[in-house]
Amino acid sequence: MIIGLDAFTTGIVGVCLLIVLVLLGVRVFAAAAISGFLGLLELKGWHVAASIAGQIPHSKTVTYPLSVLPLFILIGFLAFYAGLTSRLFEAARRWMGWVPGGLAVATVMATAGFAAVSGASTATAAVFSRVAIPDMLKNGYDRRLTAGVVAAGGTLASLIPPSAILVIYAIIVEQSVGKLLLAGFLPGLYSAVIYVVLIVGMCWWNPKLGRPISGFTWKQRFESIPGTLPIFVVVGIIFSAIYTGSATPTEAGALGAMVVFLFYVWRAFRENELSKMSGRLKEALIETARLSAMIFTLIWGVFLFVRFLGFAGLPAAFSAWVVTLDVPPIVIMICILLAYAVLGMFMDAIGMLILTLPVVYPAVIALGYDPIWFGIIVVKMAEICLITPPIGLNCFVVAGVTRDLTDDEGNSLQIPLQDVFRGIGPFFVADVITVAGLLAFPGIITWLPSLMD
Amino acid sequence: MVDKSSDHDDGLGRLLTRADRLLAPIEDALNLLSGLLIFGLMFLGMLQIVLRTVFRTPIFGYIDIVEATMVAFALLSISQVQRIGGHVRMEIVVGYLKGAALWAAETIGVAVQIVIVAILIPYSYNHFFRSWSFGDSTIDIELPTWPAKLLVPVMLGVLLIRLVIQLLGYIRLTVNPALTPVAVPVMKTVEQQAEDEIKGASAP
Repeated sequence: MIIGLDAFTTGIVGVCLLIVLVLLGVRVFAAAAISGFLGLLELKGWHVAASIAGQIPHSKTVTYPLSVLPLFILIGFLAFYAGLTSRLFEAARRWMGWVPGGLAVATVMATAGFAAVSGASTATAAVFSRVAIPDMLKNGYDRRLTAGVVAAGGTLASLIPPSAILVIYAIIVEQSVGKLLLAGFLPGLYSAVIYVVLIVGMCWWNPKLGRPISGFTWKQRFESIPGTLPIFVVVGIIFSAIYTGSATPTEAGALGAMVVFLFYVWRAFRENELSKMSGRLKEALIETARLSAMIFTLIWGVFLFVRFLGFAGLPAAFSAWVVTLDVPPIVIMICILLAYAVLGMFMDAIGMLILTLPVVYPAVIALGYDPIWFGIIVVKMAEICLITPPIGLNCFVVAGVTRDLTDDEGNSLQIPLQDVFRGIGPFFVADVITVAGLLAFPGIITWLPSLMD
Repeated sequence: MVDKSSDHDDGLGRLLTRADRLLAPIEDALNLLSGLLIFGLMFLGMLQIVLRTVFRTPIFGYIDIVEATMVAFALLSISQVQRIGGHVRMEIVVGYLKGAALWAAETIGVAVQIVIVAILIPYSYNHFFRSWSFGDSTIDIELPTWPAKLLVPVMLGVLLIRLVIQLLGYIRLTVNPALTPVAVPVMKTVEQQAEDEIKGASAP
């Protein structure tokens, strides 16, 4: 109404403006909010645009399903500060050390276990670099394999529930949070199994890469279990709550956080570390609050843009166009996934999803794909970006941690970045196989959530 | 970031350092408050489960209470996250810029943020004012909705102050790139980001 463009053209101009602002490095929430506001101004005039803009920061954040996010984030930080990681690794090496590449297999198992209390991929990689790498190198494991397995293992965190990114997907596309969380479980395990098969195969073929370690008695194995119990309890709580519908995800998140918190208090009490605990607890709360604010701000900022897109009719037009394309849906799906792979190299995964889904998602549904299935696939793609050059943050994390590590005699355990990137190669191939498997057998994703119906 | 060195002898640099040091403790306190509220949400959820399953009397208006506090998690830390450069963005172009070009791009970025935040403040205030004057409340326990709605313009106001400090900080650097950056987040390379993750991971 200001310039007099029709709705569709305004939509295109709005999207272009958003792209330019995001490329210029404007914070995504502000870029989306201002593009959305200007678009609404053109389509509906000042009064409507201003009134919608004034409501959205409140109305889009006070939705009960979103309240699970801070709690899931809190579980992860608490579990980390409670020192669950080293206990998990110790248990995994006692139980799995005997297979070829046993310590690397144990690392995958332990990262998968930690993923069950955490949704943060790079943090998981950082923690396990300290816990697992010195042990693997001491036992003569190949440096590249050692680095690769830790960087790749970190990515399991986003699929195995509780996962913040899956909750965000569910809310943006208006699907059941519970179903998405359940759906991530099997693909997460399947990814871990593919990693394990790869490691065992490589180390069986070339035993120099990583030898089995042995000598643990059954007694030692069973003794390692109690320290990891909070993980099983949290998994049990979240699953049973969602599956039976007896508690909302928020309540399950609260209970899970409580379990880890009590475990932390008990441990600090037993090890006489209560004085250190309050500082760490404060740190965990501060980090949780920051990450929550970052995600919530993105959500309302982008929702303002989404409201404008809806008025402009762009998502509907895009999906109508995609359906008329004379190529099989699977080709379009692969193009979409490749586009995500490229975008993910330059942008944070959560930001990328919130920004693109409002347009991409309706088109994917129009092509006949399952909403839950697509969520898992997209998140897996975003995770692959964390181990792919040029950014591949997880690889930088591993290289950075090892720079400061030394063995018992003070020799450096540094693994240079190029070795980490070479080491990740086989795991990248494994991930491509995983995605191909999820494309070919969607049941891996959809079976568990379908049981909820 | 708070710059503790005093090697910026220009007047604006000193002023911005002072403004930054005044605002930062407020932002930190708000952030901690948000963290404590999340901690409280954990206990509330726990209590709700116990009361509902053991005593069959759920907390009256549990969902209303949770929803009312959510605005706090969403907004209390918004300015602190801005201070440390934590809001998501894409650094594909700005990552390559240096000197005056970089600071000019940052200036534009912050200016865009100022425009939208300045638009949102009065209209989110209107949104609050309507519910205040109509006595709007939630359905279950008739909790007034205005306090949560009032929090939006207030916290955006704090963010606006932070943005103005950053804008001046970037303009100062654009004019003279040789100065020490004060009161602005300095962009991190991927190595530095990794370094931060590592520092965070070495606590226990």
